[in-house]
Amino acid sequence: MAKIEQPPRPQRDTEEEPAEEAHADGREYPKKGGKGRKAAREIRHAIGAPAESPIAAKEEAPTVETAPPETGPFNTTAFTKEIESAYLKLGEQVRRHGIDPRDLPDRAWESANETFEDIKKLSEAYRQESSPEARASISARIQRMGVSLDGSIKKKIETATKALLKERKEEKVSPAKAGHEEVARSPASAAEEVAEQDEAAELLKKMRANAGIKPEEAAVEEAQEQTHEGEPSPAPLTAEQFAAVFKSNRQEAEEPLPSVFHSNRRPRKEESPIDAPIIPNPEDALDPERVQEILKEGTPEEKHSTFRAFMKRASEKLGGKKSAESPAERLANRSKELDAEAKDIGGLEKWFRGVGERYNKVGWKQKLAVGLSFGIGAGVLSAVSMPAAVACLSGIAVQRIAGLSSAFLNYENNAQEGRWKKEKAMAKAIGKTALMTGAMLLLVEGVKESVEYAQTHHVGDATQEWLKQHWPFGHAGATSREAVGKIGAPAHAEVPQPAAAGESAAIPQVPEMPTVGASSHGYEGMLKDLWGELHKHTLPANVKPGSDLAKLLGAHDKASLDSVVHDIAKEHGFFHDGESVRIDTSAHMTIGSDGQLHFADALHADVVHAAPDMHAVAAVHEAPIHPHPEAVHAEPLPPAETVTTPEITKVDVTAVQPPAPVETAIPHPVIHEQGYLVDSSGHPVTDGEGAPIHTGSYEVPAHEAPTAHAAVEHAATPAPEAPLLTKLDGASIHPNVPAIYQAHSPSGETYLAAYGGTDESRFKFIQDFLLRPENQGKTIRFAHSVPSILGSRVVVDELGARTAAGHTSWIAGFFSKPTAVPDPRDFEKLIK
Amino acid sequence: MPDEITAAIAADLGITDVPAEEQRTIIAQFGEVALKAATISVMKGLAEDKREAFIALAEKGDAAALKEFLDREVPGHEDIVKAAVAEEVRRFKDFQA
Repeated sequence: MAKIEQPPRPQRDTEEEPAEEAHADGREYPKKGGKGRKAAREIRHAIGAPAESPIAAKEEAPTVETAPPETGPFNTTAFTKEIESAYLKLGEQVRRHGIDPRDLPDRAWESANETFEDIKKLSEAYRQESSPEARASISARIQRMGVSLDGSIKKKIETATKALLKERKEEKVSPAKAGHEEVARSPASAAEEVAEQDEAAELLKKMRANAGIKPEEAAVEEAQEQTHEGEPSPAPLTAEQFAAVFKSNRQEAEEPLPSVFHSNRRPRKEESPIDAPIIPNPEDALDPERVQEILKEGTPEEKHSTFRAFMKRASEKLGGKKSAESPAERLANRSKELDAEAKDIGGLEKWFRGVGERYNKVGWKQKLAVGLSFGIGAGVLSAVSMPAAVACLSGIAVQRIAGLSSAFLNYENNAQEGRWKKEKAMAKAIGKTALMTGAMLLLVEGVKESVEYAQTHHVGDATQEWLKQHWPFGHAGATSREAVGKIGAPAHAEVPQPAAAGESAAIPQVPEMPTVGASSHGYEGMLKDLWGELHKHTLPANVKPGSDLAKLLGAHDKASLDSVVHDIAKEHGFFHDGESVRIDTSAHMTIGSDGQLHFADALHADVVHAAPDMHAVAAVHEAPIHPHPEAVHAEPLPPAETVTTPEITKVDVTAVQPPAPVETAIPHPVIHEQGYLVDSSGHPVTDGEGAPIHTGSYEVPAHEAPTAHAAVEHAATPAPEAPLLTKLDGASIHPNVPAIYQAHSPSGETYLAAYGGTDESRFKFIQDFLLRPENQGKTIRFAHSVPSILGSRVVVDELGARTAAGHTSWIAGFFSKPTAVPDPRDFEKLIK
Repeated sequence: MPDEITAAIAADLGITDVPAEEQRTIIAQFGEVALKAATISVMKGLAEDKREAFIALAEKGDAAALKEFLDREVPGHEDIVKAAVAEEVRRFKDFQA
């Protein structure tokens, strides 16, 4: 049988009262002492109620004080009124069982009285308090007390009532034996009591049904309530909710009861809060209207479930029993919840599970990047990009991210200047990387706000540095592609390049530093190239004295430049014991934030001083370089036809060359030095014209050196490339002229490849080609250089276009794996 | 430095008072939750017959194509993701409170 809401009855007063007090029913009862009764009297006194029992007070006069109306989030007057009303109704409930409330043991009322008194005092304190924080605290305490009055205290009284009923039934206690002259009830009154009990049971049944509690659940609930007798139950939270709990008397029985009535219901163990829908905001627990709104919607089961979740969260919010979950457990459970939620979305579960597994496998940095892409750590929600986060879990993202660098720098520079002109920066970035940065720009979008946030909140340069190093996983310290890769082609799609200042935390203060590629004139030639590039860039305001940068900038003419570069070469061990270090064709050089030169090639990620193995392969002796050209003793060059090697015909397909087609060969400068590259057989390595690739400084004969400035300009100007022949049909391909070829991959695949010219001119050529009607739907594969903080990298991409109704859609295909740079020797024929 | 980023994320999640190692664990876990929540929120707005295409693009890791797809198929997906992540952040902070 369902548990019956038992009518309560309040305590009696004893102190300072006559030995026999007249009750409202006209009978006299012996007084009983006790703390509870004293407290109750004080409460009644405080609220201006007559000094009789609650029952008498209710029957004879209204006991609720009249207080000025309150405004604000918590109305203490209304709340106290409800508490008092509930208090009185509790007494009525006891009385309905034929038990005078005063017959219950004092301890049954003690807590209720004390709680009621405390509520009164706190309510007064609340009214006098002006601090919102303090009022909130007091309000919370009052409501918690209300919860206790509703929960444990009410149960205590009900338990005492049951116990007394049982005692009387077993002992067949007569009214006289009970200690007062209660007249035995007539059969009619007994029948009425039974009817009331049945009615109460029916009422409870209805209320449970209203909250969606099934009969079998109710039985379990009842059993559990019996088991947990006396323990606190989940709490209602507001005055209105609390009052609603007590609106279970007969007069209100016909009205639909709010679901919160079942705040007394103890969730079963299997009803984990995690399984229940979560109320959107725990603060809603303090908003009665919101609570009603939440509980009004949904099926009974949903309301039931929602209510459980509400109680759990709200109870925690108001200082109830806190969850024993650790944060990690909480998140793990939440992750499982989301997994379960994904099951409800058709076709997603398997992939969804894979996302989680993949996430767990990625490194810490990528996990941080995922967080950043969602704006966490950069001011929540300031930057949200699910595509970026998803892509971050894919290997391709890492590859693509490498190409993000220059665009990232553009954004970063804008951030440093306090402006985010998105479109302009985007266009600029796209222009620089020529359509190939779409994905990277998107990723930039995900972190640009992070950078801004870091600056705004002074997170520190280290954050920006980390972002630059690890978000794009390398970023541009240079954009000077004109100077990159003047000779030779990298053997692989991506070649490690020098770190501009990857290890330094001071990069943000240093403007872009140029990067130069290998020079046919060796390390010192690279230095001269760098010197020329430095004059095209904005230089840092404060150059560290004595740094390589300071030394280079100290050279103002050719003579001084020769001297400076030679000294630097010696200082860094690139010229040692009369030998110049062999420079690999993949070599690059730049200047770090501290003004230090950084050098790298395919075998050396980032060195300042020449590595020992560089000397080991330097098989060519070189005469000391004199700073003045007139002092140089030139030695004859070996005949070009005897030293030509197949390797030299490899031409860097990404090399940036003069855009204008070069039909006539420009005379290669005469080299008057001993150092030059050799192949594995010891033969000099020559360029496309058969000239050896020199590794040391070179000098131009006095009569061929018009001016110092011109010589330097010449050193910084890439030499034109000679035409080369394809292996299949001997077609002539000119590296300086962009064109589309049919190419063969090693696996026999045929594809269209763009080759020749600068990156920019080649991209423009590709676009023009693809926009022609006869080329609709075709795709072009091509290599291009992408700057990064580790130096320029060569990546291979594919571009296609479709035009419909005058609108062109560009299709940027990115290879999931690094793809070899198309080798022009494998080209079959010229398409255009 | 990762430590700086970690500190910024930890501050957003309200876990600055926990040991560094635990912060890393929580941040890593939270990233997974945020990713899942964001994904579900977007997928709910995606027509059923488009989900396979979404998955294919996501598997490819082509962020640009993925964004283009979502721009077309789930208008306002960024706001949806934003709200989903915000909700997860709020949930977690409430739990911490």
